[in-house]
Amino acid sequence: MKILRKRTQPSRLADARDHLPMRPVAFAVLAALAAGPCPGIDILDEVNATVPRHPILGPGTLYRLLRELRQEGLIAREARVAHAEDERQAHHALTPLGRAVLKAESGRLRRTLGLASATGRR
Amino acid sequence: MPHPPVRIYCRLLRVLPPAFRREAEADMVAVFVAAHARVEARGLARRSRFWAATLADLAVTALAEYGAALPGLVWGHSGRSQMTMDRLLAATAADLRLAFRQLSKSPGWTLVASGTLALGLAATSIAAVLLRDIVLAPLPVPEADRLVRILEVSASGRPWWPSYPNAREWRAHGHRTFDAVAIVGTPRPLPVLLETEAVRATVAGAGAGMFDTLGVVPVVGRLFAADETAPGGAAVALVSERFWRGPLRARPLDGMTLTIEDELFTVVGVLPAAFRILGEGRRGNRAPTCGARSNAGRSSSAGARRMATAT
Repeated sequence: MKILRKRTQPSRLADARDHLPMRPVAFAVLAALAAGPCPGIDILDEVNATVPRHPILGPGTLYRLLRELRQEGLIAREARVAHAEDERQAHHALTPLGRAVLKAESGRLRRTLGLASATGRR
Repeated sequence: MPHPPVRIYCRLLRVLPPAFRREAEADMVAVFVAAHARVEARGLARRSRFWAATLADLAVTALAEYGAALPGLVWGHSGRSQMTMDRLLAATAADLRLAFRQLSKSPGWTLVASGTLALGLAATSIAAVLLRDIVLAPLPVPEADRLVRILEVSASGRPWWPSYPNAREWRAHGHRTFDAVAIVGTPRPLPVLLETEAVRATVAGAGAGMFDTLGVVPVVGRLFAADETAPGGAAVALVSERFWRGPLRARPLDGMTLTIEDELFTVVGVLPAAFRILGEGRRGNRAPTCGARSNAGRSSSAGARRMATAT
């Protein structure tokens, strides 16, 4: 089992690198799901809050994006949660690959910011 | 029963491709309900912005989805080049700004171009309406393709309305060529005296069998009986549905009378709303139609239904 994990981890990392760089809006969706599965309205709020008073996504564009991310294997749809605040909404969650992509993109952005601040100090 | 805004949103969702709707409709409606609940109690400006954003979102999604189905025809849909609502709005606003700037630079040219466009649109609309009404729209009677209008030709070769005796002759002896021949007097606007008021209406004398020839069925009452169209028959009249519902206030016909040119007529039936007397015109005459019994004036029209075997 241990050997298997060691073998799959580099492969997942390589897969994650294939998705870089990410579009900001797709990255924001993955980031919104980092804390755990949540319904579409919460993702919409989190993503739209990144640019105050300037909505980036609506229900249609959100579900197109969610479908793309699902097809790329970065997120998965969970069964409707019976005790959730709104039972009609399906919940979405990060897959292991999605979590790896989120981590890799976060690292890339950190390095980019580091580069920008180093340039600013010069 | 869903909340009206939700009903509107569900209808708007029909602009999306069915496949996408099947997949995401329930979730999108749930998101809309939650988002709308937050702005429901807010001011008009906030709600207007919410609806504008919702419409823009649907437009972007529909265009992108149909664009994905027809790659290359709309804009590129290849994962990362997806156009977001934000970009579409910005691009549209930039296009509009540029257009207004260019137009405001040369107001004279703008005026001439707008005027030409308006004239062109008006002429096209009028031509389309005339074409539809005169050429394309069938007459509002059954088997309209079997109806012909018969005219006489004068010695100078000019077409003219047939005289009443000639038309009566055709009706009596035209059975070898026609299923039936009907005679109707030229419609004329005349004052019609009701119980308490006088109104202006288009009136025409109708000969025996006219409504049978045209295949008209009354919506209320009956058509003329054979003895009523014979010389010396009872004075009876048919009125159009608009006349019945208007000046006659849709009252029962029992014993209802009206006076035309000092003669008292009993109203026996109401003709369908689509019916028009030959020569009355389909739209131009705003006066209600009122068909009276035979007793045609100086000129008359003859319409005939060709026999089934005639070619």
